[in-house]
Amino acid sequence: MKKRLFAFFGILLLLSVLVLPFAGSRRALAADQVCPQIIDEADILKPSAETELGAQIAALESKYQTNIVILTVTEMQRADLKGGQKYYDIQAFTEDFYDFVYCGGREKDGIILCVNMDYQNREYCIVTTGKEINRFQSKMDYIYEKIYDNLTRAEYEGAAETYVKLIETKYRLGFYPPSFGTVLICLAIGLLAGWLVTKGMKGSMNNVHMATSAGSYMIPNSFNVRRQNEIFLYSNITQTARQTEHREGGGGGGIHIGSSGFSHGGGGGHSF
Amino acid sequence: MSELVSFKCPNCGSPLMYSAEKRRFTCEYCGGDFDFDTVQNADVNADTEFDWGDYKENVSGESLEGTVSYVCKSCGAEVVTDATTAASLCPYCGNAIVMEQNVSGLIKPNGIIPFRVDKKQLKEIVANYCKGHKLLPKNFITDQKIEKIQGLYLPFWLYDCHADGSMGFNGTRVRAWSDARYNYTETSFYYVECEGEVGFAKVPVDGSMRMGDPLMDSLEPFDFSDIQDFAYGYLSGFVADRFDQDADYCLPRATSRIKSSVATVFTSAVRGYYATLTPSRSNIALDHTQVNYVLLPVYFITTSFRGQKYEYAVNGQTGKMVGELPVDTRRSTKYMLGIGAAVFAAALAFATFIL
Repeated sequence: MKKRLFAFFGILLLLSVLVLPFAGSRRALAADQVCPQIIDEADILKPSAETELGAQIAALESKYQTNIVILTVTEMQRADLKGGQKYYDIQAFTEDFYDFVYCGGREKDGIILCVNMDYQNREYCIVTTGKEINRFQSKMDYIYEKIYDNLTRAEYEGAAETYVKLIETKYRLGFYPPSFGTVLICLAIGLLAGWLVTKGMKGSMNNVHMATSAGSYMIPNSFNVRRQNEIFLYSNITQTARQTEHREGGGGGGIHIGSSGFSHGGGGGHSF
Repeated sequence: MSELVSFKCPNCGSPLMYSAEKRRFTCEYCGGDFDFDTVQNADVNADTEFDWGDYKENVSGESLEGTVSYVCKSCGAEVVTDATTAASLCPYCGNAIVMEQNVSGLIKPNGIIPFRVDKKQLKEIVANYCKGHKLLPKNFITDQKIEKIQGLYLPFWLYDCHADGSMGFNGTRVRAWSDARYNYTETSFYYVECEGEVGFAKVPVDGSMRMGDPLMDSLEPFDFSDIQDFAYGYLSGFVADRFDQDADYCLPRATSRIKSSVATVFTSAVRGYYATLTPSRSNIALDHTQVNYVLLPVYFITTSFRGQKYEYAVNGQTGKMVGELPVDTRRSTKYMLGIGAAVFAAALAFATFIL
């Protein structure tokens, strides 16, 4: 009887450990899924938005065979990571969450957005793994910039929607449509190039030009330097402080190996 | 208190500073220290450079006997030919010209370069000149008709000189290094002087008022080793213009070209050693100066295309053709938009897929 009681409480404890951290989830988990795609621990997303986004993410994941994750936290400290120690680097925290918690220690293709709502240091970070590293790395600044606009206006659902929409667009089109400003700049470059080339072509149709030098009439080998000297006058030394690497919000971008030993891409931590 | 005045340093040619306290001029480049009289009387503050002095002008002044002069009543041009050639139209304005007995005639030149290009070759020369120009009006090459060809000997002055002297420059050298905290840049300032000599032979300037300098300059180069002693026979079938701008009048053009080339060769002699080099002073004297008067062969061609007339000139010795070809505005716009669209598409693709 005692053995059965221990077994019952043991199973109850195990279930509570697995289920409690994701109590906010509104969707049922797939058979091989450890936790839901949206983990809103900071509780900044409305339930309706969470449900809608969760459905979109699930459809995208199924269509493109990848993992798309959104994590919001109020502090970078979890009992199931680094023995409960606090993280000071949002990128390391996001990578470890994705590798050890979301993927259960396995290397899986995916992209994760982590928003830290710590009142002292609000920041966000995107981490990519596997095939998503090359897919998104060159456009990481663009994605950060788009999400930043929402976050600074406290439009957290908007930020999550933008994030999902940008992933969907990249998969569907393979590129991001250029902004109006970029199109205008390209148009100006095109018109300038057309004008310059045509000007050159017109110039080649008129070979009447005033001569300004008599170099052709210099007697060959007649130039003779008899003396050449220099007088040192003075010198100036200017010193400028060397630029040191500085990243706002901590965490480095680029492709590197995480603490799990898996390669990750991303743009590092950014404050908002 | 100091103030900047517009005197140059007698040593290095740099601008001088006047110190009211010392009542003297000082040079911040070479450290020179001068009183007012020294500065005012310094050569560097007087424009005595490139003085041709009493150059030798090889013009006999002898009028040629046996030549016939024609005067254009319309533009006033005077042209000369031999007794066997009948000239009827002015080579400049195309109006009728009349024989005159009382004009001064052709002054005997020191030499002449005869026509080496035959009139029959000109059609091909014109066609070749037009080839490869994508903005020409459609069918311009095939439909263009040569209306008039006029071979003309034009008067040129050929200037010889030997330039000797020195040039001063303000030069800088830059050295850069770093330590853990700072980047350092050291800029060292120098006064550089180069002394030497260079010779010029047969720098041409046209002596005809009716010929534009750019057009005549563009006909260069002529091969002056082919200059022949003047003979009447060379005028047969051609007309010659007599100079109406003398050697003194044309001298500044030759001086300007020679001055530019002297500066170029002196600068090139020292340039390799400095990051920047700015000429600050020059003191060049000319000697062995002389001028020769020659006749050089030029064809003037008038063509017509769709009622419009076009004029070109051809070097009668080398066949080099000069002139301005017409531009088809529609084609030009099409090319501009086409190239613009291609570059726009490439830039947009680059911004979208690579950046």
